[in-house]
Amino acid sequence: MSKQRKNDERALKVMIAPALVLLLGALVPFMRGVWTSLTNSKLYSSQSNSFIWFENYRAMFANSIFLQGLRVLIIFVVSVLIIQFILGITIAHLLNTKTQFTKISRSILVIPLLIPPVVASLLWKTLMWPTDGVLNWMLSLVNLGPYQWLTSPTTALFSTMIIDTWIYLPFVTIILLSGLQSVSQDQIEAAKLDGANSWQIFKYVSLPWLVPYIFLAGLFRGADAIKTFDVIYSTTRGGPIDSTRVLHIQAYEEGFRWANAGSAMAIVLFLWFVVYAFSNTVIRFSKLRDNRGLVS
Amino acid sequence: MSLKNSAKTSLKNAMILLFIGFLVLPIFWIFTMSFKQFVDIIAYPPKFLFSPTIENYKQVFASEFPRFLLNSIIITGGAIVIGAIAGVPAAYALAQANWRKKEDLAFTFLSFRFAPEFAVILPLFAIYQTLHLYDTYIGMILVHELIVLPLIIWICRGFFSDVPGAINEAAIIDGATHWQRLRYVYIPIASPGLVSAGIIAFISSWNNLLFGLVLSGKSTQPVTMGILQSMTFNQIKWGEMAASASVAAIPGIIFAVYLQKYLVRGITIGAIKE
Repeated sequence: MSKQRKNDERALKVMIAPALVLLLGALVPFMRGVWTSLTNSKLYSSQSNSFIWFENYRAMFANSIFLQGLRVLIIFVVSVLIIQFILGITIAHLLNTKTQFTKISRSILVIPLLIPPVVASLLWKTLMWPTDGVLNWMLSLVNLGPYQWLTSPTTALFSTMIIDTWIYLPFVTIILLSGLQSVSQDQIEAAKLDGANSWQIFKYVSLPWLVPYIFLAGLFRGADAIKTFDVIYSTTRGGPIDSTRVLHIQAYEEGFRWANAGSAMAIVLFLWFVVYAFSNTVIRFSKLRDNRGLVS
Repeated sequence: MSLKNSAKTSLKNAMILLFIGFLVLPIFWIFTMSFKQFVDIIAYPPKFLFSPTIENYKQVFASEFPRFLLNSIIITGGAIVIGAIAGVPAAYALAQANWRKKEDLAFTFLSFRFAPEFAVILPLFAIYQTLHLYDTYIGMILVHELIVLPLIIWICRGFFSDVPGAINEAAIIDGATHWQRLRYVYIPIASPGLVSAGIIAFISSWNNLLFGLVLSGKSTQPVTMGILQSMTFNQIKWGEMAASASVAAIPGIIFAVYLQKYLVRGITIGAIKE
């Protein structure tokens, strides 16, 4: 290789260096966090800082609030994924035509996704106000009793799912729509000529093309749902009575309400592990089904 | 045949309208609330006709809110600038290089996006206190790189990969170095994609709550913290809250209309070959 080529190849390394430095910089607090999870350190004082191995983790798994939070998290993640994918593919199918109406709709569609989740939570908290909110007013018009929405342990989680869906359904929809638009028109025409109905066309022609998009949307949405924080912190803070106390919230509270840095890190590292396992599984699974897969 | 089709289309359009309504009406409701006087806001049944006032906006802009807005602009703007400087060349390198571990490296960058932020933020809380970075713009900007940088690299790399190889070859034949190709070939050609990467990164950073919640203080609170605080007082100032929410939502709404075409491609580009 000529000297000039060698210098040029080095240029690539120079180009990537700053980004590497910045992101490796993030590993420092992370490593420190891992260390902290193995101690009993408190947040504001540097006393009582002894190494206690996996005691935090053992206590965590024995803690009923943690287990409740895990249960709540699983219900939340599975539910929002199902709801958002079913609605998402429906709307994507509806928008899969080239009209002025659908074009405008597609622009408006993404607005909830782009405003701060805090703002979205505020919006819905207002609408869901149990005493004189708009939603309960609408229910009263059809003689349905006032719904407790975010204020009751039995309804709070479901209410946060509605908010999460309002924000992120556009995300799933635009990705699935992009998938639908990538389906080969020739294959659809051929299927129509063979006498297939809409459902059969969807199942045997469109769906295979959609698979990588489903995996992509599922990967991002699943990982984000597991890490849910903003919506719940802005609406219920985990209540009422632990009914929405997902793990990311618990980690925050353990750290900043109870100042238990060690156990807080244990919770969030467990959460990190869950997201890691989830994303690895999805990516690996996507490679099995489809040669293209995600992330090549 | 035509009648059945047009009935089907009307039904389809009606359903689209229903979903769009669900997605847009809440925003519309808060927006109208921001122009209501207090009596109209707490009126029950809810009032749809009212005499508007800009008093709420006046109050909001007379309060600390403009400071929060400025903080967000500085933090997010700074994060995007640094993210672009560090991220665009890195994305180019990942698109062009022949390293053996290239895909692993690319995935490592992406994987930062999947980590629960608190795992980094809690230790950073203590570290920042020591380094005197707590409640500083630099501290906040650096932290925001955690979301901004992986996004910019991921999306820009995708768009750089889309640049036709022939153009790259031609530039090499002309003796262009990597830096020259980046500057004169790749950036110009991929510029719509780069812009969309910047916008997606901007929104992700602007909308973030947790970083500001933990690492910002009196001087650097972003607008998301401002909104959050307006919800936690005993007596909620509904009108001001609606006004500040409307203002905080403006970048998102503007970008939604502008970004629509590039948003999907930006998200899917790194993962799906078309």
